[in-house]
Amino acid sequence: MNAQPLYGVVIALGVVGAAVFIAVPRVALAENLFDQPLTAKQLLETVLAQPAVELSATRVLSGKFIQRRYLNGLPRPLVSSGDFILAREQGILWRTTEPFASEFVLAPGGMTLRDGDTETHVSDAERPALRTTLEMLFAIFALDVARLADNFELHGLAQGDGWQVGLRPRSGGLAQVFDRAVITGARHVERIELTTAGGDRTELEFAGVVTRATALDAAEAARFRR
Amino acid sequence: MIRLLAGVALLALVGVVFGAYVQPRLRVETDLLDLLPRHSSDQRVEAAVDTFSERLSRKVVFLVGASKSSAASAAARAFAKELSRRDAFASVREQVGQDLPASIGLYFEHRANLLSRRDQEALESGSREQFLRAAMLALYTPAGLLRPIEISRDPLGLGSDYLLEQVPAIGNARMQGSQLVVAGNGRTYVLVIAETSGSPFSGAVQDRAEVALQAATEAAESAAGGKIVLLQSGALQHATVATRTSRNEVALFGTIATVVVLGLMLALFRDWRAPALGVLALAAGAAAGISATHFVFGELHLIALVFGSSLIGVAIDYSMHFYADQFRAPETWMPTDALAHVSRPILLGIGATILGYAGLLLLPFPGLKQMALISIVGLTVACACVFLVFPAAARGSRRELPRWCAAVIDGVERAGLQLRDPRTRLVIGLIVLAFLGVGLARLQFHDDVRSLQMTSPQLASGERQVGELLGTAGESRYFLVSGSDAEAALQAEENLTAALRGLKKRGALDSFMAISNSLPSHRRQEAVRSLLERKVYSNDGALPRLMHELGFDPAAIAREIAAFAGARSPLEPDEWLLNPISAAHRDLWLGDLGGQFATVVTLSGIHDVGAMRDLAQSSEQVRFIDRVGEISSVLARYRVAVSGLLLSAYALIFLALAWRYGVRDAGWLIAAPLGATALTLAFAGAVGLPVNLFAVLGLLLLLALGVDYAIFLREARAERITALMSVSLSALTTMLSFGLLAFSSTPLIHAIGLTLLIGIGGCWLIAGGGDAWQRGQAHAANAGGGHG
Repeated sequence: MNAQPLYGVVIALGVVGAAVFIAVPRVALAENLFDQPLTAKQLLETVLAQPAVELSATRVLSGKFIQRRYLNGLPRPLVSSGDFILAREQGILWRTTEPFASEFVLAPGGMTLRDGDTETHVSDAERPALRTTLEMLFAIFALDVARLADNFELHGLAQGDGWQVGLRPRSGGLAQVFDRAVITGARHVERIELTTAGGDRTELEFAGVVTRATALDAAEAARFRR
Repeated sequence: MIRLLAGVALLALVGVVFGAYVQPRLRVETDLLDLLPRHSSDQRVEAAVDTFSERLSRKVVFLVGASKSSAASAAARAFAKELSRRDAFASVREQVGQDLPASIGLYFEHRANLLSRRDQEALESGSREQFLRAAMLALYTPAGLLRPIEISRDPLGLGSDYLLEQVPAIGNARMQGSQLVVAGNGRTYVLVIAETSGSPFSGAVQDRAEVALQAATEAAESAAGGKIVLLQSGALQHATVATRTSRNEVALFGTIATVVVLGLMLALFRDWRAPALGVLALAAGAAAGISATHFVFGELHLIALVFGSSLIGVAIDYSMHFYADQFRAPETWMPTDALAHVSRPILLGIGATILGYAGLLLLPFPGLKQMALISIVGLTVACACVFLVFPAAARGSRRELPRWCAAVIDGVERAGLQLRDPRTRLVIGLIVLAFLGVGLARLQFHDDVRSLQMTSPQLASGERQVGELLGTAGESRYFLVSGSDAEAALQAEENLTAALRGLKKRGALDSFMAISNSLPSHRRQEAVRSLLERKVYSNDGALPRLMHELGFDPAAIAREIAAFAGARSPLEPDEWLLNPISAAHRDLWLGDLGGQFATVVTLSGIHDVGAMRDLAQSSEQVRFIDRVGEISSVLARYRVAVSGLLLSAYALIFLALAWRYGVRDAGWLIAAPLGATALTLAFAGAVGLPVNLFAVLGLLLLLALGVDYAIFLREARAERITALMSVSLSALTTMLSFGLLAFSSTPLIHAIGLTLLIGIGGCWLIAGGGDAWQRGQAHAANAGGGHG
């Protein structure tokens, strides 16, 4: 009798194995980036000493993006572009303008895809892995080093004004799904490259990035809601 | 002489059988549910429920917490590593997500037959254009990053959706590296799940687990470099504490009762043989009772043993009666004389007691049967020991009743004579009536089986913390689905889950888990294949069109279609069970249970129980299992039935007494246990103790143990002091040993113990008082005659 309430939990854990899937990172970059693992503290004190101060105060980050997706077997990448807002409390809003107009929101509570009049929502309850995914993507975009250190082996390189951070999944499911991520930036994150174990690669390039220490205004926040 | 030989032979037999055979093989069971009746008429349902409960009971969830998340992570790793090195635990999981490639491999082998519900519905109802557009959008947005299978291998995301659909809700837990963590109370906790090897209710498993946990905790603390917080949830810890506590109680209660009883014997009878022989009779009774239970049940329930320890106070009565006989004629008493005087009251007493316990044998409660058997055999052997061995082995002290004892008895006697005063009687009568009125009016019944579980506040709070941290609300009710073969069971389950999805939309249910989500029936696999053939993999299907639009070359498209055609073999239960993909659902698969296949559908957040029951009503193959509710209602039913049994027992005994002593005297004799019963119930009502089945069973035993007090006093009017002393001693020792049970932390034992403590006390008072009253009236009549 005692054991029964426990069951949900047991089951919950059972397969999370199969649950953690963020097809993420890898980058063909300076080969020596991945030579030496760093601790989060080292990374923050050396390579990211400058941007970390500003990022830690940042509540909202917005700008334009270009996404290039290279798939195995495809000669040319799938290219899309648009703008995005990253807000600490609300999540990620990704508005694609080319080649289709659509809006993608990943927020605590679930994922919403808006395409013209149709809106598709997948809730956390339906897809428990979504929240983990959101946290991970958010940590990468916002360069949340402490959170990243929990899940990745960290690497870093300083190059003049700029810097590069390399991420390798520590072990377990993530390691089998993707290989590595490279985040490049100067004052802000400028570019993210994620490569999966099979070789599919996603590049995100950011431009006109603005950070602010104030929360979203009401109109902006409304776009995050369903 | 022959008598003594028989006695020695009996003792030797009991000693050898118990010492050489039973004791080394004795299995002590501690599962409370083992005590309760099987409630279902369907053996197969019983077997399925047992299988599932057994699986659940082995699970243990640990939360290894530290204030720094890196320390918690290292601690959990060391904890799990040390735990898995021990044979106390069969499986220990701390790392998650290791098996994804195997799951993906299984999907690709059977991809023509597997599809998520969501995609199936979209393909069945929505337009093909819409489906295609949604797939395309995912590729141009970060939505495409959320997939377990790479886009180039699964452009439409059908495989990813199928795998994702099986990820169960994990409450507040999130992935950190390859561990699952929750945060709370300023700490990070890492989840570790283990399974005990063997039933957690086995003492050996508990002992091994304790050693393993100790070592693992030390390993964790040294890895964390400091103190860690270990929270635990599961049957193991409760079972362990129950076992420890019960063992301690047996030892403690047994020792106290034995020491007091033997001390009393030594003080009264002033000869070392009296307590020595008393111990001999007790030991023989205990060994025989335990052996008999072992032979009949193959095990001994710890609670029966705790209960059995209370027999010390009853079994010693026979020795007491025997020895007390010497005060009849201290100078000339010979032990061989005693039986002629005391055998009748002793046999009357044991007869009534055994009848009472035999009543318990009639009930389909395995635990009560054990209690009854251990009592009947134990008392019989102790009594036989008195009859066979004592006459030859005992010695009289040739001394009068000790002065202090005589003084006490005299005091009791004089108190009884106070009842001659009509005003005293009136006052006492009014007080008793008021008490009965108030108490009985407030009497309440409570049959919830959960109230019978022993809970330590510390464990309960740990359990609650685990639940709060994980944010999962457990549910003890579930569906059991069966079919003549695996396919039939899975089809029945799919019919059920279709209905459950409807209830979920209506808000009658938060969520459910079913195997057929991951392992569809052949029926659904075929439906999926034909759907995919028509809408996805046909020449103008979604897949070729998407791949074409993205720019894949025709050869790559042809390869995908060929791969689909080559993955048409259905997914079978055996293969599924062996693959890590079934990890979350495997426990729900009960498989072949004697020609019947069964699965379990678990539920969480039931808001409309009636709707669930209705679902089970509508199909032969589906049952709604609510063990807590069913057992509670069984307990309630038996409480009523045993109350009826109790009333008929009173009626029968009254008739028997009326035949022997006449109606008027029979009324007086039955008044003692009956009045004590009323007082006990009134007491329970007055202090707000709810009455359950086990309290009523205590009342049954009260009748069995207490009815002879009045009879004994009535029979032995000639030897008033000896009789009063015997009855008082008997009541005292019985109250002592059952009174100790009232301190038991096992609610069931506590209920019986408290009932008897109050009941026997009341019974003694009423029997003594009633006797004094009657004699008082006789005395008054005599005195009046003398004056006249």
